[in-house]
Amino acid sequence: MRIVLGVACCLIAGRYLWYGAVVSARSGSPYAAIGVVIPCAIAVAIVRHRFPARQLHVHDRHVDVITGVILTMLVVALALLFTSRLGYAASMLRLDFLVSPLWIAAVISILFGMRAVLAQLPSLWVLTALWPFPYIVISAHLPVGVLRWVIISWTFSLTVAALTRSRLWRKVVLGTVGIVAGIAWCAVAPLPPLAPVVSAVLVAAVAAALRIPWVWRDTTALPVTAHTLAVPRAWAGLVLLAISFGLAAIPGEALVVSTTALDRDPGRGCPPISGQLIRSARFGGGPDRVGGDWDTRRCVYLVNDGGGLRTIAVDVTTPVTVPELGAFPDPAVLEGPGRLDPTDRTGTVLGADASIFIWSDPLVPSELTDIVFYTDAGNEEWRRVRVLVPDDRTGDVRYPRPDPKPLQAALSRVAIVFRTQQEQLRTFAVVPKDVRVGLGYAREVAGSWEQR
Amino acid sequence: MIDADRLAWSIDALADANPELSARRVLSRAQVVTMLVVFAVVAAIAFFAPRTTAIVAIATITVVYASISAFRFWLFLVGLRRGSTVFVTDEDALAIPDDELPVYTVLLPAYREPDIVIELVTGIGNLDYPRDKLDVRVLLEADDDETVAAARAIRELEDWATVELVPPSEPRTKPKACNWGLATARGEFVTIYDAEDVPEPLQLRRAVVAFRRLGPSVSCLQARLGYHNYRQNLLTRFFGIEYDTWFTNLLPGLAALGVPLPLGGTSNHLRTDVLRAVHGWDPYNVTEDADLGIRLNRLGYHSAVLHSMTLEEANSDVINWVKQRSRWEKGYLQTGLVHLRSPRRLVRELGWKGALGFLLLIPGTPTLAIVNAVMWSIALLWWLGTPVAIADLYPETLLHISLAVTVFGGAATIYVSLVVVAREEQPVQALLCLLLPLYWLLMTVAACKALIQLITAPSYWEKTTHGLDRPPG
Repeated sequence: MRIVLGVACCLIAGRYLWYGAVVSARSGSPYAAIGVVIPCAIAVAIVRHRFPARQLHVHDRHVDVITGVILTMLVVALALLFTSRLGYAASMLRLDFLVSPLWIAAVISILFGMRAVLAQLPSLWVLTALWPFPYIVISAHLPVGVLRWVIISWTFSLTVAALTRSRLWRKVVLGTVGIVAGIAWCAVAPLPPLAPVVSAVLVAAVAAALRIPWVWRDTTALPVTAHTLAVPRAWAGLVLLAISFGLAAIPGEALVVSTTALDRDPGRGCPPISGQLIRSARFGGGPDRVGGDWDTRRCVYLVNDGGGLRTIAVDVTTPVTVPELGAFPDPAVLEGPGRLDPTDRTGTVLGADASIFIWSDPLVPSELTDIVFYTDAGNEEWRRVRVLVPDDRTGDVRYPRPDPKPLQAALSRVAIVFRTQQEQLRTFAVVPKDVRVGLGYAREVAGSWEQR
Repeated sequence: MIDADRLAWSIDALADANPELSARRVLSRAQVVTMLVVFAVVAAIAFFAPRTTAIVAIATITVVYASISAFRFWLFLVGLRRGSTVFVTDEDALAIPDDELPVYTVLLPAYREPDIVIELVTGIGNLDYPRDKLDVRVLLEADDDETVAAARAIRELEDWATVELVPPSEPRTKPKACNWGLATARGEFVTIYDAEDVPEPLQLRRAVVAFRRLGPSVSCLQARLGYHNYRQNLLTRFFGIEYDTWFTNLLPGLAALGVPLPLGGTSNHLRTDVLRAVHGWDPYNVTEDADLGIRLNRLGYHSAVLHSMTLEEANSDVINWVKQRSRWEKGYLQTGLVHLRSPRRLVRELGWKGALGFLLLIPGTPTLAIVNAVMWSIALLWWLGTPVAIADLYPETLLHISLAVTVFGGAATIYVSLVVVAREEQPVQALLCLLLPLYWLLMTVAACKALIQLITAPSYWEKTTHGLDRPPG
């Protein structure tokens, strides 16, 4: 029964495996590297199966099921959060990506047992390496062109480290060495595509120098018997694969899995919109909304819209880029009298009499402390002109409701800053005469907003 | 005593003589009725006022969590300042001439451990005690052929130990085997070791001196347990930190407060006559040691902590750990239910302080393991996404109190561990204390399993596999 289930998962997920990998790779997105992680995880899973580490004959179905159920509950809780609203901390830490390995662990635990999960931990580590908090930090300091090689370097390093027969901390150290080497190579060397090879070779060399054996040299492994769950372990690797892409196969509205949109144009921020459900009608293939001409777009999101995990590119100059504000419901308004200059890629143009609606709902109101409007009055000197305190926008911060606040855009140029308790700010700018709508972080407003 | 009578005594002595203190039945009739009534009332109220019921439940959980956490922290402080431990110097221990030493019974129960039983010689064989005064009994199940064969193959054992075979019968538990050995024990004192234990060589002598020094009111001495393989992996290090905390602070704290000591599974030394008088260990209770500590106290005897170390093997495998811990948690729940059958009698016998300490420590430990996970899950969900569902159930004041209790409770546990490892001069361990929340997750899994098994198989002895601290083969 378990094997049938595993096969079914693989068959169902097959399409999405192909679709996700191909679309992601074709898009040219740095996120295409995510596709590399899965084969690496599978490779580790298979190797771990063929060369099992010390395997104990201690099993417990209670533990299997309890662990699986707890993990599943965790996944469901996280998934529910991501499909509704996500706090800023979770957005920044990319907790969304944890859903995938957690779910895989839950399924393996329930189907094949906790022992199989433990045996496949390296695979899960590789998957967990998708947790790209450091990625966010580093990506902000690296040219876009080398990002994908940095990511692949990470994956290669962690994979090679996972294949060593050593303690966890050694694997972590080895992997870190490779990661640092990959980043350094990308930063200084002329050929970034060589970074993954360099980092992998370096990790292997360090392991060899320290005489750390590889898993296939493991002579202390106990013989595989029927009790060691040998067959389930093999299937665990396949289920790992299946579930990874099964995750991407959930039909429905597009779920933005990414929290950090990549900026194709240096100097331009993109809105973090993780966890927002975006209607398929918007992101589901409209020629002027999604995908297509990559080079003319600026922001890149990783989405799950039922067609597999894939990246999409979004032009910040279109209203669709501000779904989290829910603020520009009518493109006709945004593209009013002073409509968008097709040659101007810096912002959406609004008429001078355009009204701007601000809905606090999608901004995690419990974190929002005030809304500040800035204007440069046309002279590039930013000045605070209005503050809306929480009471002004909603009566109960824990029960957010759409609460449109029209603001007549009479100023010459406005930057609106949403200030949160963590001082993490989100902004967009409006220029009423030829209004430009963009999104970014408030820090940029204070510092380099003029670049816009 | 013929074998049939001996077996009957091993299994049912306590249950026949004092059924109210036996776990042969998990719940008394009064407890069943009380639980049903409480459940019905809560369900009825929840039907008409679900939100209010949920808020009251959350408030109750918060109070329980805060009480248990505060008690443990207070216990730690008491243990730190005036923990009560009995010290016997080497000179005092060696001062007693051999011919004045009493016969000492050492019980060594083992089940399905053919590899481990071989270590008896290195562990118990090193005790500094006259061989002719040692009544060592290796207690094996008669149908455990492998272990029996392994034990009989050890030639050295023949000189100073008796291999006794316990007839196959239910419940198949360690306390039943111990009762079998106790029934014919020759010693004035009796102690239990696991097969892989390595007690400090002077431990028996120290116990004899301590018993004589403390007088007949003290019927039990609990020696400290430590681990020889605590460096093996992260789990054993966590285990080591936990045991250091337990034996260096919490147990001495309990002793100082006069709260009954839940004894550890091994290295507890008892007066044989007292142990027989209280009908030995409860064979239906899977933490018969903790239960015995409470029972002794209720019957007017006292326990103390002996400063002497026994090295054990820390559990190094996650699944094995959960199995072992779930048995402990289930046993604590069993013990809690048994001794709470008559709360008034419990208070009369233990006093308010003792009864409250018992409540917060024995049923409190598995409760804390589950409640801790609930509290932290809610806190994390709140911080991550401020879900409306949580906002609905938490009035603002309760939310703040609950979050504060969760954070301070967790921080206090980590702080306690940090202090303990600092005292033990293990600076590397200090960093691991910060990872203790991972250990709490395992505790929650174990507590869930314990709860399930308490209903489905209350007296089932979840076997712990030993010998995982050495290379395979």
